[in-house]
Amino acid sequence: MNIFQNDLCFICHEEIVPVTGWQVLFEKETKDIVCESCLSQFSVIDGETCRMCNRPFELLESQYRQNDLCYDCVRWEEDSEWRGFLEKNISIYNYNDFMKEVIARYKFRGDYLLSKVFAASVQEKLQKIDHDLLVPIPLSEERLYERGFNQAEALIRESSFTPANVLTRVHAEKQSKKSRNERIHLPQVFQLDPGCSVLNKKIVLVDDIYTTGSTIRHAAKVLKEAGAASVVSLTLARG
Amino acid sequence: MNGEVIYFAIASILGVLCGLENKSLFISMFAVYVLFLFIGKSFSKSRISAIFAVFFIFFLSAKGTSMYMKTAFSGDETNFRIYFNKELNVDGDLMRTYAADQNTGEEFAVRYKVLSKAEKEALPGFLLGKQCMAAGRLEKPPLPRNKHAFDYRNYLNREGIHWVLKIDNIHFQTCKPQSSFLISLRILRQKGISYIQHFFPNNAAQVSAALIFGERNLYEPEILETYEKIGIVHLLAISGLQVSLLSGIIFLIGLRVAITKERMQNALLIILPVYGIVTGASPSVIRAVIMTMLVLISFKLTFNYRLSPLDAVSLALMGYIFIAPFIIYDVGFQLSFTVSYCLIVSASSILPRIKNYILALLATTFISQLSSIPIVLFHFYEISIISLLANLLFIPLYSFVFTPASLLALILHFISPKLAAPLLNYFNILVIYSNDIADKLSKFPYATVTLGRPNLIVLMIYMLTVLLFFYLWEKRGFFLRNIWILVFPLIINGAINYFSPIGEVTFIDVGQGDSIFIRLPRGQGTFLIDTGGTVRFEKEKWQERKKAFEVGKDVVVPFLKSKGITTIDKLILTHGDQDHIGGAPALLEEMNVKEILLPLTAEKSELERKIIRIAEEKNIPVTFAKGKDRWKSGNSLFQILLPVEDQALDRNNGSIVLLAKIGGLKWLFTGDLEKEGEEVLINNYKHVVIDVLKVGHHGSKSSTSEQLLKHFTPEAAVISAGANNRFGHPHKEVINRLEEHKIKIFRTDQQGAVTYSFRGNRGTFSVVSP
Repeated sequence: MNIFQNDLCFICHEEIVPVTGWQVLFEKETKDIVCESCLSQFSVIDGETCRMCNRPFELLESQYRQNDLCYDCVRWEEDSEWRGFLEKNISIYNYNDFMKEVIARYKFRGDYLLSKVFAASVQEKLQKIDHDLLVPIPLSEERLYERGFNQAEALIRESSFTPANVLTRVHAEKQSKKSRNERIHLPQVFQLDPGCSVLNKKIVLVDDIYTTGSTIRHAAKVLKEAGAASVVSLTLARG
Repeated sequence: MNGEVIYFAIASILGVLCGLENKSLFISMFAVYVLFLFIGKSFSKSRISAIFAVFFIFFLSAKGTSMYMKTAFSGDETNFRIYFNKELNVDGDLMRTYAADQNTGEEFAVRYKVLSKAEKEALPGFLLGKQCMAAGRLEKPPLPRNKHAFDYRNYLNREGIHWVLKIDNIHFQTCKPQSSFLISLRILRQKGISYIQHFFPNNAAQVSAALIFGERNLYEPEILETYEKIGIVHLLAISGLQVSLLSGIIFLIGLRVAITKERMQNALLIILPVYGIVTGASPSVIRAVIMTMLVLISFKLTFNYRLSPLDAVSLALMGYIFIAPFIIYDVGFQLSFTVSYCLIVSASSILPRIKNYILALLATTFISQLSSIPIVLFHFYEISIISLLANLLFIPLYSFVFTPASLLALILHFISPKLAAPLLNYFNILVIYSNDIADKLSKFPYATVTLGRPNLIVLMIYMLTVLLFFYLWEKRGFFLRNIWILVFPLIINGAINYFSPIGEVTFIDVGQGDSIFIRLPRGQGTFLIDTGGTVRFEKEKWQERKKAFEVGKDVVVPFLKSKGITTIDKLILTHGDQDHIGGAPALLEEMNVKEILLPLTAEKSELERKIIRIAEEKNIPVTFAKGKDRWKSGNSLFQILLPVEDQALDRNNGSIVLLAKIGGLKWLFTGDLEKEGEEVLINNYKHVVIDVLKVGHHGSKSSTSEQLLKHFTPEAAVISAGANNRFGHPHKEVINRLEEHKIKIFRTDQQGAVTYSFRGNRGTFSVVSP
């Protein structure tokens, strides 16, 4: 108990004014680490979304929609090379400006503690998905050295789960510098760690963001081809 | 501090109660509380130990304070040098105050009978802040004489006062001033009040004195009663809102004239306690002042840290009961903190949702009223239903009209009385109108609901239900199904009152006089035999008290209300004497009386005629009872024995004499029957045997003859007489006669109220002061 100091918000570093109320008085304490105003800037995905990639339809023009799929997913699934690897992607937040800033600080500027901000919601989602292995999207050794931690792995750990690092990267160029076409037609960037088996395992891939789905689908393909029973992905944000 | 101090504040309350009250009860409550924190709130071990430490520290502090309170006086002292350092109240010819003995510092409650009108006017201004030689006697403060009655001795003891000093003579020439900062503030307050009293028109003065100085003594008791009935009496206290408004205004004015923020904060830290004392230092003012000061101090100590209101009120509570643990018994304290807590907790969750101003005011009032219900019921036995409406009307009036008007009028009057005259005029008229509205509201049927003092379990049910209601309101919204849970404790309370299997016969201690309350089990009936009555003596105008004591209104009605009684099936008035039926008008005013029984007599006293008049107005049937009238209620039988027709006797001997079979015993209630009437009784009822005799005529020599005792062979006798009454009742001879017959004697003059409580045909007698 800090006598004359309230806790500071993990995101904006302003004081968190404690909430009072009857429920707070009688129910179990939840320790807030993010202030009300930051919390309000997160935009949680809800409403109608693409069945496959969880993209909210309300942000999508109708021409890019086919029934309950988005045009992106339709194109992926039309391609015989990619069809059927990824069962489904689940994202928690919209990738709005605020989220962009928070994720940039998290992974590019190494603010590891921000993983705690997301821990509760990630944990909640993971508990709902039936899985055998939680596989974080790996970083190349060079990136890992630069950042000091794998942002996807940190999300799993902070949600009190154990990551299964079964994938490694073969190539090392930043995805975010590439176009969609380049990404899709990239040679495989992941490989299964030798000595790891995913045979008949239900797998959840975890990453910070799903933009085109290329990264996730590459990883899913490797895993499926190695005999995984199913591959679902969980990402913090849907770009 | 994250709003956590409240958990420690609760521990401190339980600690204090454990130190002052039943230990095992509050230790078990504390155990339940710790369990709740540990399991329900997952408190860490270190925080639980801190909770234990707080509990223990407050337990010790309360225990220590209560043991430290000892008197240095034996009660035989007659000469004192006393220091009048507290507010002096003169009502009629009685001055009441507290004063400290100069040698020991021990405080007395002081009474002094003012000798003349001139003295009455000069006394308060003269005595405050002076120490004087005085001659007088020390008396133990009186004990309560009836169940649930105010325990003055206990009340004073809690303040560390053990004696009432009745001053016969103040040696005015020996008085010399003794000044201190505190005294000068109190003198300022007294001067302010008498300034308002002298220069403001009467009705405006009452409101202004209350709103500026927290002084209610200028009010006529009738108006205060009306305000209590409609639940707005809290408006006459200095509110927390007023304290924070005042601080805010002073702060802003300071900033406007270019004083730094820091300086203004320091200034407020001095101004606030001064303001608290000048406004009478009531618990609500003290609470508000401490809270505001704590917030200021937290601001000073740290860089822009703002103590949350919830932590501030919790710290204020802990500080208050640490220094003065006995304050926990004070109604004002209980109400002020409870309502503040509930409003603060609701302020950030429930209230912000309500956007409409009127609805928000209504919700605020509702929260205040609801949270105060358990406390109000415990102390006043009834809740005001109309209060919601009344508050909606009067809160804006008092906050936004009367308070500024009072302050403005006082300031203008200081500058020039002429300037203030028009304002005061309108102000006064407005007050008169508003009092009128209050009076009309209070006359609404079912404006108040009497439920009696709830027992511990019912009280807990009330408190938990109220908390649960707030919780559900916040969680699910304000829905009808949530409101229903509020009805639940009311039903339990009412059912316990009405369907209780326990009946009682209580000889209420009404001083010199009779009043016997009979309640049959399972709602089979309530009866009252006589109402007591206060005999008044002629006094000069200046000597008359604002509110003269009247036993019917001040003893019998509160006693009945404390038991949740609102209906009397039969009011039996044995005969026309003041000491038996003087309280009847008050009773008819406050209770729903279904029938009045008066004795069949040729000549009615003026009082009897007055009661018949009131009964006619209220459409209450009046029956003139005579021998052989009888009725049955449940398992109980009642038979009128006297008066018999065509037998002209004097008033006492014409009393209604009632034979009753209640709770397995046969009772004979004889009113003021004396020897002559007893003979008639014996001659007319040859084969009656009784168990309990209500001794006739308060045990006077002329009643309760040898023949009567032989004839009716009672085993117990109850004498209803005033302590130290001037008639010398009960007479030694009567006592001797009763003792010779080996009759167990109960006396209200020595033992207070006498109660027989029964279940089925078995019961026991008990007295208030054994």
